[in-house]
Order: sequence, then structure tokens, then C-alpha cells
Amino acid sequence: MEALRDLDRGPRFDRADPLEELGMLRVAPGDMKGLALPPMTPEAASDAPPEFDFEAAVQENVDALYRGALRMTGKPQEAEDLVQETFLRAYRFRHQFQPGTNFKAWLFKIQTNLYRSRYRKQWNAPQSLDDTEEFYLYQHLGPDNANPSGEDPAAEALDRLGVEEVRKAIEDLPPAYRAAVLLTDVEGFSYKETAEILEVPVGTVMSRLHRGRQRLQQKLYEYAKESGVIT
Amino acid sequence: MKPTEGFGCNETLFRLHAYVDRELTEVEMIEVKRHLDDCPPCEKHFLFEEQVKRLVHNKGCPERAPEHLVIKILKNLHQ
Repeated sequence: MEALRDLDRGPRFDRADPLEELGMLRVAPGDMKGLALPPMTPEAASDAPPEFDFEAAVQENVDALYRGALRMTGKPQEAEDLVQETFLRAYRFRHQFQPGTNFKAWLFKIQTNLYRSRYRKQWNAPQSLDDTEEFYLYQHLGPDNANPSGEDPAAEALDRLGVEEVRKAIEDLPPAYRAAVLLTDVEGFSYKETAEILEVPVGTVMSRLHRGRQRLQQKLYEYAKESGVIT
Repeated sequence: MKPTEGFGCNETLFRLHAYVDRELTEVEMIEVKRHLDDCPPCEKHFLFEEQVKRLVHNKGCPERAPEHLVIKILKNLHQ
């Protein structure tokens, strides 16, 4: 279960060999140790079960919810309101949380629903992205095939990209695409978990990720050029 | 899945992002891995796409929740 708890810390790329994780990938998402509510009857729902430390759950997830809300709304005050309301709802409906499932994913689902109802216009605005050039950054930054053994210039250029360029490129994405990218790339949710949070089929997540990342790479390149970190 | 001849560059690149995301089937993961081990240009490309994902992860959302927000949330729970 070690790898599943790692979901909480972000994408699973910190291991040298992705195959090492294969065994874990087939396990159903969830089982967040320490976050699972004990089974309880609806009558008991008004009392916080003593085993479940909601305060600890707030401390553990508030940064993730806030950074997500900030990238979705673009405004600190609105992000704070969204996160506050998310935790209020989570607390009020805590008896509906399914023990043994992923608590962080459940919180993100509440926050995403709230976002969608508050920002209906932005979410529903026509926002389909066209297929653009595949592997935009790699095609434009490298590869240096003339010098296959040397340092990769594309990788070096990427290292020079700063917080500002990345933030702007993410915020340029239409909300539905942005949400998919944030949930998988920043929060490390699987396609299936992201699909459940966004309440869409897994195929929709995959196509939003595909087009969202294409656009993101294109924007990263533009902003990097603009700010001069790449020439 | 029936036994395959192994993935070439195109079949690998088609699956590259899903491979970075660890979202391929077990058989496909193995096939892509096998190709990357044998093909330095594709491996270089894979490392790059992985680096892009890490960039978005590390630099996309560096902010932490402000302390006053955490205090407000915890206060709300006690009302």
C-alpha cells in the first residue's frame, strides 16, 4: 500500500523503473491509511467517530485543495472561499464518505462540484481544444541527434523554465482541461480517480489530458521564449 | 494479448504519455520498457516527457494554504 499513499505526494515518477510499480497499479484506488472512516449507521452520523481525526485530515489536504483552487479560480480570495466551503461540506457530509476509499479524492470531488456550480459559465463555455502538434516542446527544443551522447539541450532548456511560465501556461487552459491536468500531473491521481472526481468517462479524461498537454507544451514554449529563458 | 513482435518507435511514442503516467496494461508497460531499453532516441524522448510532467508537478502549484485559512477552517468545524 506504500505506493498508494504516495499518490498523496504527487505523480509516481520518482522511481527509476515504472515497472516496479506494476503490482500496485492493479490495486483499487483508496485505502488511505488513517483517513478511512469506520463503518457507521446513519443515526450515528452526527457524532464524529473518535477514530477519525477530521482536523488532521484538514491539515493533510488543505495545501492540495488550495493550490488546486488557486489554479482554477486564479484569485487567492476566491480560492480561499472555495476551500473553506469544501471543508464545511466535507464535514457536514462526512458520513457519506466510503471507508476504504481515497479521502483526498473525495475532497477534490466536492471541491470540483462546487467550482462547477459557482463558475458554471466558465466551465460550460465552448472550450474544445484542437489537436495540435504532438510533443510540441521536444520537437522545438531538441533533440540533438547530431550529438546523441552529449547532454540533452531540450532537458537543459526545460530546467530553465520558472514557476511563472508554468503557472501562466496552466491557467491558459480551458477549465475542464486544466482540471484534468492538475488532478493527474500535480496531484498524482490515476486516470480512473480523475474520471471519478470529474464525473466523466476515463476516455474523456484521456482525451482532455492529451489535448490539454499539447496546448500546455505549446504555451510553455511561448512563455519561455517571451521571458528569454530559451532562445 | 497475443505474443507480439515487440513495439517499434511509432507504437512506443503513441503510448509515451500513458507510459509516463503508468497507465498502460502490464503487457504494454513491458513492451514499451523493452523498446526504450533498446532505442536511445526514444529513451531520451521518454526522459524528456517525464521531465515535463515533473516540471508541471513541481513548478505548477508551489503555493501553500495561508495560515489564516487553516485557522478559519478549523474554527468553522467547532461551531
